[in-house]
Amino acid sequence: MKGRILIVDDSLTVRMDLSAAFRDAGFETVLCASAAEARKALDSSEADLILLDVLLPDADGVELLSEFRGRSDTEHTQVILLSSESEVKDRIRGLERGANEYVGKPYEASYVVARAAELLRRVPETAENGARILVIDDSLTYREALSEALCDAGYRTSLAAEGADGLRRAADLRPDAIIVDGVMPGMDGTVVVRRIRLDPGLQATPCLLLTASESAAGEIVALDSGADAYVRKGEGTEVVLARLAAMLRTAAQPRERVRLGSLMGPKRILAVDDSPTYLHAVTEQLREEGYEVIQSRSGEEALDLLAVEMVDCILLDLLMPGLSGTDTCRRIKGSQMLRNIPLIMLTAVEEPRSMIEGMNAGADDYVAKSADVNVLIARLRAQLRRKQFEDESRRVREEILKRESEIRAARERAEERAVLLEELEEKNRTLEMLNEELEAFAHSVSHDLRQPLRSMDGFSRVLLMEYAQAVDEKGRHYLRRVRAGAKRMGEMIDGLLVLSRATRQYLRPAPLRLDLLAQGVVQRLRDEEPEREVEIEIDVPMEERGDEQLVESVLENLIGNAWKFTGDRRPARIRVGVGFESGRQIFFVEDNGAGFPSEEAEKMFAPFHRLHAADEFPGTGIGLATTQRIVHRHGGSIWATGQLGHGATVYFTLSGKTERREK
Amino acid sequence: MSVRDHPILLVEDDPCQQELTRIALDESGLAPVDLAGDRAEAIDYLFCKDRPPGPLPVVVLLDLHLPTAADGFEVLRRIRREKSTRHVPVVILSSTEDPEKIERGYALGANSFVRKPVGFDKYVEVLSRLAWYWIRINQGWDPAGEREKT
Repeated sequence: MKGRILIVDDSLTVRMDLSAAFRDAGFETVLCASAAEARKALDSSEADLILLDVLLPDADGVELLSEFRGRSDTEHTQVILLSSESEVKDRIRGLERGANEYVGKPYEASYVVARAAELLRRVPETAENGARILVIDDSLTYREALSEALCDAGYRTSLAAEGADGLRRAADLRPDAIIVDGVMPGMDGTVVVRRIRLDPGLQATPCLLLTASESAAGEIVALDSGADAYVRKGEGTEVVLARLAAMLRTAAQPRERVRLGSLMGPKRILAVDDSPTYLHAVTEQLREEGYEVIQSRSGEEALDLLAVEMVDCILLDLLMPGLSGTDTCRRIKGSQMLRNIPLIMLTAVEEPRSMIEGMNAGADDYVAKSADVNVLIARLRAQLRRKQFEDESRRVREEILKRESEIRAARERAEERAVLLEELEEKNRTLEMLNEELEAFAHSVSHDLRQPLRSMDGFSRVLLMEYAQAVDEKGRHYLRRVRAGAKRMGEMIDGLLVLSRATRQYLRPAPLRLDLLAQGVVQRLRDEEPEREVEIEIDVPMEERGDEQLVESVLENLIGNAWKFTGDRRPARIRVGVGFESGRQIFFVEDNGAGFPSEEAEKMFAPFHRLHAADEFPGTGIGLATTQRIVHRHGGSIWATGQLGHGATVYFTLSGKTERREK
Repeated sequence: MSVRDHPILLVEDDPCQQELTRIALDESGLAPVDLAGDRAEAIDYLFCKDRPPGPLPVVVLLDLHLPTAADGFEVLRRIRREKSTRHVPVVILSSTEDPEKIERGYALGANSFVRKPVGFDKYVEVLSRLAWYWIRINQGWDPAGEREKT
């Protein structure tokens, strides 16, 4: 059983005729002659579809429809109104009250059955507002599995097994989203998506394309066709659901629910003529050709109808009582919403003047009523084709405009970025300037500190030498402490000046022999403390680009530290060498001296950070900071490993950034 | 003419530094020290017609900041411009290590440039060496000949 049809009509002939047609098509029918009977029938059992005559002996059909729409069990039931063709007002009223379809009498029983079947393929509207998803896939297993997953997730689904059917369903159902298989016999998925994108009524529908392909080419083909998203079938239904949800979110702006004429659905023709005979003849012919026909007996009616229902083409009689064909045409062509609907003017007489009149009013074509109906149909087809081309070219134009605006937006973004970049550069320049000022300030302050310091040391010395008798031994001890403090502070100021110079000094890179520089440093250390016995090993050669003066000061500092911290070692050993890693040279200075706690490895490069008490190993705490700055200015990095009591190794590079390594 | 007949002119505006430099020079026992506290005093001392007659300084120790470097350079410029002082050696004492100022000092005719060390012991040593050297040069002494004699 395909479904249960409630037929409500007071005419026995109509009831029997329709009942037979529906039963032949496999439906079950329930026949009612009045509104009362219909109510009773619905109380005892539900109906899938109701055929409702507008004129009933005990009620107005449209009022009864309103009543049905108010009942919870028939709120969403499909209803087809049956009415005599002259009552266009009823048609408008009916559609406004929630009729799903309106069929004018005299009807073709097979047409009514076909429309009913079409309507019943729609999944009944449910109370919850789940989005309706159309799944088009030739694999039954996949279709069913996906449908189940979608239903579980709260969606309503409609299924189609091939592209052409899918497009018809899409036109009829206006789903919220379409999931289509890329590879299908006949029309494949990309073609389906392309057709949907060309249809003014459907083009906004989000489309998800399923592909079997793993290649990037598959993705390009999918997105090229206009799909909003694509999912590889292998990725599973969860991915499909996630993509779908995202797609629906982005498409979330409420879509126009006005029924636009769709290219894929049956073409709806509005025929307007005051002569029922001609209207009837034309309707019959057109229905045979597969068109849907809405009949209207006057221009006023036609305009009222067009306000609630969209059509694909209008056939308009030129000579009508009331609003004339020319005036009706002018009104239609004057409306923003309607002017694109092809309009063919019909006239009883073959007369150039009336033809010109009609065309001047905006008609797209002109056919004499006396001509063969095939002429009319041919003209109609031509108009529909023209409309389709127009829609397509409008779509293409819109696409081009969209692309252009996207390009414009991209250009604007690029310009914005350029402005931001400029601002950033400006900020960098300011920052650089501020840094320079700060450096200059530190530099001059350091200088100014020297002068009072010299006074402290100088006068303390004068006191010690010239006035030694005036103070006792304790006093002299304090004076010596003052001098020692001044000396240490002097060293620190000098250290700061070196640090400042290392930052400010202009870099003059040249190829260097680090081994020769290191040998020079070692020689000076040996000259200063000839009594020290230190085993020193230097790799030969060590070559790298750098600023000679600054790199020498790096080596002075690192080798000087190694020299200092191995003071109590017998034997003291220092190794200056180079290793290679990822194409970079990593230089190192290694000693077997006092070392440092390994957790200090990061902090030791900060200015004034000292790892050892000043009386244990003298120093200013600025040397390593200076060294780090020089290394950074060369684009290199510096890090150290060591252990308290077990020596230290400081590594540095003079080019390219390298990750700071842990020991 | 004895070395002691010629004073050393110290041009220095900071009283502490005046005192210390004088002490340092006294320790070296080279020559009496005359003081000028700023640019005007220095120019008065060197060029004023009313200045009490006496020998020109054997060397000028010039602190650049009097209180600005422009003042120090102006004194140096005058010394080199006037015929009477053109040959007096000038040693610039400074805290600066700004290469621009050092170069400008030499360009204006300074004979030497000393960056004052913080440690007083070192200062005494540097000053006495310098002053001694320039005093001997000024008196036409030939260091090579002296070495031969000793």
